Amino acid sequence: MDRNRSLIDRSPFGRIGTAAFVAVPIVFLAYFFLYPVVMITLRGLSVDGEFGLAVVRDVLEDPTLQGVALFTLWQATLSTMLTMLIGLPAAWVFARFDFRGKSAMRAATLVPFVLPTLVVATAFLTLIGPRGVTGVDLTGTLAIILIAHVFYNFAIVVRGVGSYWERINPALEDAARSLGASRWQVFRTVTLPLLKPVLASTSALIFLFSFTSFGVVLLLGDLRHTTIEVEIWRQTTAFLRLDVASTLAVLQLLGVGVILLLYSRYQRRTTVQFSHTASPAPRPQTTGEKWAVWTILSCSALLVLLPLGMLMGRSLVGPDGGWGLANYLNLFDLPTRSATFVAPIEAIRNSLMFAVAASLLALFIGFLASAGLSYTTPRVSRSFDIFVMLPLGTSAVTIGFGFLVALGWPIDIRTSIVLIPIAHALVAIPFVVRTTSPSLGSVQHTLREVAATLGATPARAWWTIDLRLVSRSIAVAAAFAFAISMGEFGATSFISRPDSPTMPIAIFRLLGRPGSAPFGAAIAMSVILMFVTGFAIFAIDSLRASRVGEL
Amino acid sequence: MSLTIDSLIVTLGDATILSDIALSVAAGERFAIMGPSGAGKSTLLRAIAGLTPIASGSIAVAGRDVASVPAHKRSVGLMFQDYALFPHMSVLENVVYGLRMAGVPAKQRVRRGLELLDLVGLAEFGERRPESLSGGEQQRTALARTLAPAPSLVLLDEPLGSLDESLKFVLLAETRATLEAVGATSIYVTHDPAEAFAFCNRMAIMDKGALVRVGRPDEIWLDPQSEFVARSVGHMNLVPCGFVRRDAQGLCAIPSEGIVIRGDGRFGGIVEMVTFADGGYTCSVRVPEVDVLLAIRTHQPPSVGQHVSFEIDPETLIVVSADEV
Repeated sequence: MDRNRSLIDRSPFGRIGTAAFVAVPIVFLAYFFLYPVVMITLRGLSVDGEFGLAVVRDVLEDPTLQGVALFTLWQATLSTMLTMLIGLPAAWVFARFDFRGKSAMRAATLVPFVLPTLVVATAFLTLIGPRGVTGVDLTGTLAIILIAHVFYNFAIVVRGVGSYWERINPALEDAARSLGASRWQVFRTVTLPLLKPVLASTSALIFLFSFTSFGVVLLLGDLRHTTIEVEIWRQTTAFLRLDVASTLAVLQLLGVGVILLLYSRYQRRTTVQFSHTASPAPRPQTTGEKWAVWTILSCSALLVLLPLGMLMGRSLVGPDGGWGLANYLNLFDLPTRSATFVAPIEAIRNSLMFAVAASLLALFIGFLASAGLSYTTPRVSRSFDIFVMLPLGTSAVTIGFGFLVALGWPIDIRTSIVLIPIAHALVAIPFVVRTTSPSLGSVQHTLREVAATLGATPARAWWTIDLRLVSRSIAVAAAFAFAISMGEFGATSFISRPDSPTMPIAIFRLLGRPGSAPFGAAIAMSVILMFVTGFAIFAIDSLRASRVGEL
Repeated sequence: MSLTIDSLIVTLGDATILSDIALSVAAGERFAIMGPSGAGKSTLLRAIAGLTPIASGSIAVAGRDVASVPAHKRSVGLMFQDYALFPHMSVLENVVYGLRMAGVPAKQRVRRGLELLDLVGLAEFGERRPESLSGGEQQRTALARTLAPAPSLVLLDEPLGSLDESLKFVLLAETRATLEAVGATSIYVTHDPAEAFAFCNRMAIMDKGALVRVGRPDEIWLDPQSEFVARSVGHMNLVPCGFVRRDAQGLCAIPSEGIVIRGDGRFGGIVEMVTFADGGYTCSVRVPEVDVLLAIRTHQPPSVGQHVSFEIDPETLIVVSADEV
């Protein structure tokens, strides 16, 4: 009963312990995230050390940069609309029907979402790039960027909207039917209004991801078809215009802030609890239903599997045109950079090491943050939540760029190798929090109370009840963090050292070299990366059998 | 073991949830607390278990004041209405949890756990997960878990509240037998008088945070002392005593066996509704003189709207209170 106050605290660690839970993530994020962002902002808004808007004016008046900004918004809008349009039918099928192989297919839809952007981009290069098997070269067009974004974000619609849809009681739709509404009217007057918050929050999320898209646009776009994110990178690495890059980063942050605000507003509304616990969905009954389900599923499967299948197939075609493992063997001796010779295969070892370190760090900080979120008062928790989630909205390029700009103080760690796992952890922390905090928060308070009446001290009750109940979600979070670190490209592209490339960096370098041997090796490396992250995803999905977390 | 509560007050903000509760339950007694929802029954149990902070007063278990003892050191077992079984543990692991917390060696606690599962008829269920159990099996698991650490006092909060009607009284009898077998002192909270009567030796009626009547079930039935208590324990027909006997005053309850439909009856009314239950009919008869609805049992139901005559046996009358209210 809610009206009963309880002597059993939610937090078993008292006020001081809980405060420590909140403090550690705050200090970490303040130094590695907030401080760099502030430094970027200061740099963008100053001229020769004085406050001034000269650079901002220059940037705003530059027609090329105006074009970049417009294109960024335009492609994000189109990507969002297209993804929703293509994803909704699949979300409906997954929410309302049961069919053979459903859980495997659901897992498969998640693969693109966690696939490294470089792998996705490479996959589309093998399909519709200059060396593509179809013979059609769409690189440098809006179309290829949209296709890649749809492929990439399809899973968010299927899983996000789908699982929400599943929880809407079908009896509501049946009731509308029995009151004389046609199928279409039911959808328009009952289903759609109920789905509204999740449609809005999902759209905002897809818009955000497309708005800050980096790897895909860098490889598939051109100078005109580019995003602010890529432009920040270009201004820094090609023109060394740190002031312009900073200004662009500030403008992008503003845009991201607005999108995030919209997102969190709608996201909050999706936490409405439906009394309906998803009952097993029926198999398609009528011929019409069967056709619809079959068509939608085949199209979805084609969308997800075609580029990936092509990537795998193409990886087996060697530089001389013959079938075989030549591309994979090339990974052992092709130099990624002529100056410092590193065989691409070393990148695999680097990536694995970084990913383990980054996952541990992200789990540590993220779990403390989750505990802090669950055990503080709702007011503290809400603002803390926004703070911890900030890195999710901030583009990876901004994080990497910020490290370069800011982390010379108090000791210069800008060239240190620890920056890479730290940057990866920053990107992964919001995912860890989103995965673990709902399950920590949903541990029924009566379980702690009954443990107390059975003689468990608060600490032992936490250890034997809470921690055990969330252990599964911690494992899911670890797999997520691992996959994110393996594929991270935006931030890494700023801070990786030539002699210790990660797999995405190695792929990027190989793609930038002339000749078919490096291209083949890049594809082979992409396939390996795809399998490593894919394995993590299937681990996530099998762990998620009992639905933990929001993601 | 015995429980003695004195001047117990529980507040929530400005509101008083429990006001000046005094209660003593003897060792080995099965006590029931009955009252409508919101009366404070659960809060009282939670205060005894040490889960709800108390404003003032004393709670003594076996003569030792435990008001300032934290819940996990009180040795007061509480069985929750939704059982609160640990979903990540097997049935046996659930049952032995309290023994584990008490530091009982693994071998011993498994043996004790299996004994208890046997006692509640779940000997084969040790390895099962709580979610795979039926409601009744979950209830028995929760009971075994509560009893395992041999608590000084067992509190049961609507333990049968979420079960099928048909199952309730079977499980109630089992629960009672199990508590008797281990010699536990217990307090059983319910809103259902039939459950309370079937469970307890002695009971209390609770209303608005206070105990309004304490006694044996038969005592309370025959001498409710207030209209609220009379209605709580299931008296349906309350009329001013003067309606039946000119010389009497106050409010009376007529038990169903004391009222029959008879052509030559001295009383009369209009039938408003007839319902079938327990192999007979219950007629709701509106009596215009006192404007009350009386429930009269019969085997030949009159039709609705018909005027019927009935007779009341004055010997069966139970005086509820001296005032007519």
